[in-house]
Amino acid sequence: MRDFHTWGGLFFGWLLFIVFFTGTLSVFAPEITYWMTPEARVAAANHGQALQAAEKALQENASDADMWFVILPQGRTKSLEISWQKNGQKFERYVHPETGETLNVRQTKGGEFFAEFHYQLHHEPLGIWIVSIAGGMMIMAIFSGIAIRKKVIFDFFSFRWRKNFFSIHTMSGVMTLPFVVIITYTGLVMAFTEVMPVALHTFYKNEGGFWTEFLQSVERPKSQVWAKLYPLAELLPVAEQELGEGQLAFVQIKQPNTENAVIHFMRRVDDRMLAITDRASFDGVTGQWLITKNTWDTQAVIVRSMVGLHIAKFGGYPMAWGYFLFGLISSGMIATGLVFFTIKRRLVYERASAGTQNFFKKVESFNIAVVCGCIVAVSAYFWANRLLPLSLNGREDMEVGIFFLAWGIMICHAFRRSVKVAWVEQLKISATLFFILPFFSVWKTSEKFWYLLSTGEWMSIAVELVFFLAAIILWAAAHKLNKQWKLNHKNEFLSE
Amino acid sequence: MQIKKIKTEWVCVEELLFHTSPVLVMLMRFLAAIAGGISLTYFMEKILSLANLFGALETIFLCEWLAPIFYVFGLWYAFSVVNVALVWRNFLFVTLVSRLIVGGFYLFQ
Repeated sequence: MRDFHTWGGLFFGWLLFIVFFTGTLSVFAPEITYWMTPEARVAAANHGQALQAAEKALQENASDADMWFVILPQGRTKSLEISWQKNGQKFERYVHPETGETLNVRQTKGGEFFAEFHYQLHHEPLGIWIVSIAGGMMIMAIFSGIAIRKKVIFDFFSFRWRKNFFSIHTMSGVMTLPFVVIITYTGLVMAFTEVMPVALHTFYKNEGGFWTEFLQSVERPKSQVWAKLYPLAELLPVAEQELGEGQLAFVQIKQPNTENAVIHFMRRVDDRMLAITDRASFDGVTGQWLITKNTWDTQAVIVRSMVGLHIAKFGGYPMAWGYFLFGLISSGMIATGLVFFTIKRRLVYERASAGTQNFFKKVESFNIAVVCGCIVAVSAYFWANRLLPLSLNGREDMEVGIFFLAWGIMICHAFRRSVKVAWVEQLKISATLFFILPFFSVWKTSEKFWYLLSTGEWMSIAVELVFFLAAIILWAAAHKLNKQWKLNHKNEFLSE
Repeated sequence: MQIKKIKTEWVCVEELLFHTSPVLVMLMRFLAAIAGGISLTYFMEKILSLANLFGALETIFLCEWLAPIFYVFGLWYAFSVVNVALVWRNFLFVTLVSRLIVGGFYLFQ
């Protein structure tokens, strides 16, 4: 048990830190996207007006597409976004909700990049497999951790907390135990279709067939015969009657401008734990109501509630901040576990063979590359958003490229510098990057802080305040580490 | 010595039962591999047959929330195999043979 927790925790801990840290950031994916797309911030409009504007833009840009999708301004999503699919390719645009004019918004993956990265590591489907195995390991590490350190649970509740890495690791582990178990278990449930598809393939030929039956979705054969699309805004009151007034979040139109067009209005999912979009479907030509699906069987409710527990869209900002803080503490728990591995063995390895010492040094360097390197890469991603020219082709991929480039540089840095210097330097680099970023953002986008305040742009302000806070915490950590090591060095010198 | 090494690992239930003889540990693992493979196959078939009772959709959702348990046990089993194989290389051979038997059973049944 002990060896398993130690070695399994070390090798999978590197990956789990990345998964937990980027997953934590993805809790605020809509806010991050909002900050990363300043050009998309325009006056709000009601759903009817927004839907008219979206339809106008889609008719102008993609009248012959296979499918349209409209994301209405709702809850934490403030912008009107349209997307369409044509010959298997997907296109996305932001639209002015009053005029229907396509906005010239910088291309970016926004906060969704972190959401995707944390479960597929930017490489689907291999990434899903790797993360799923790491998730299974996490559950095993949790239970083996409890088995080998039962005492820490009593220590936690009797406030016997000590100021060392081991205590931070165990105490934060006990504190976040229910959260980590739930988030890991529900994450594994979501990977089911990729990792254990036997049942699905036995009953259905593919995943599409399963979803069609589950959602009772209206599927019609492909048609090329042109027919005028029924005005979307006129169906809105009927759809709201079915799904609730002001509760609509998405509209999907399959085969628009053809005789087989179908319009699906979908309800929001951010006001309940059950992560299924209730939907009302209409004929796209006559506007006739076809079906409303808003009741689900028990098994579906259990599974989709687990999904809801994982994606944390319910409960508004208090719940999102709760997930964010617990996610950060869990990431810290993993990081301190990695650090504790090296601290515990430092003296032992000093007396070991050259090969063992070399392995130990590599482990220490890799800890830095993973923990600090990941944080620097995240800040570099934000910097790329503000630095790259707006008109650059493939801009969103360049942003992701810079994320990996910065991480690569930090890995080289961690292996080139001595361990103590590398920890302090990388913490200071990340702190500096986060601290300067809001100022640089003001200069590049002409968005003054007081302008954001006066216009009530709290989502942007909150993101920039978090940058400042992150900078202060990272700088304080670097300063404390530096001071501690200088003190240790002095004591060693005196004892000699 | 080998048993002592196993003792420090996470697979401790069987060595509590069979700690006197490494041969018994080997035998037990051999049987466990066969039984595990057969029971997994049997269990999977049983689960899939639930479709007659509940319907295909419900069975898939049932599998979905049971899946993590399968992942964890699968991983636990895989790591114990690797671990013991490292301690006792012959075990790797034994495990491979037992898996082949289970695979054969599954293919030709």
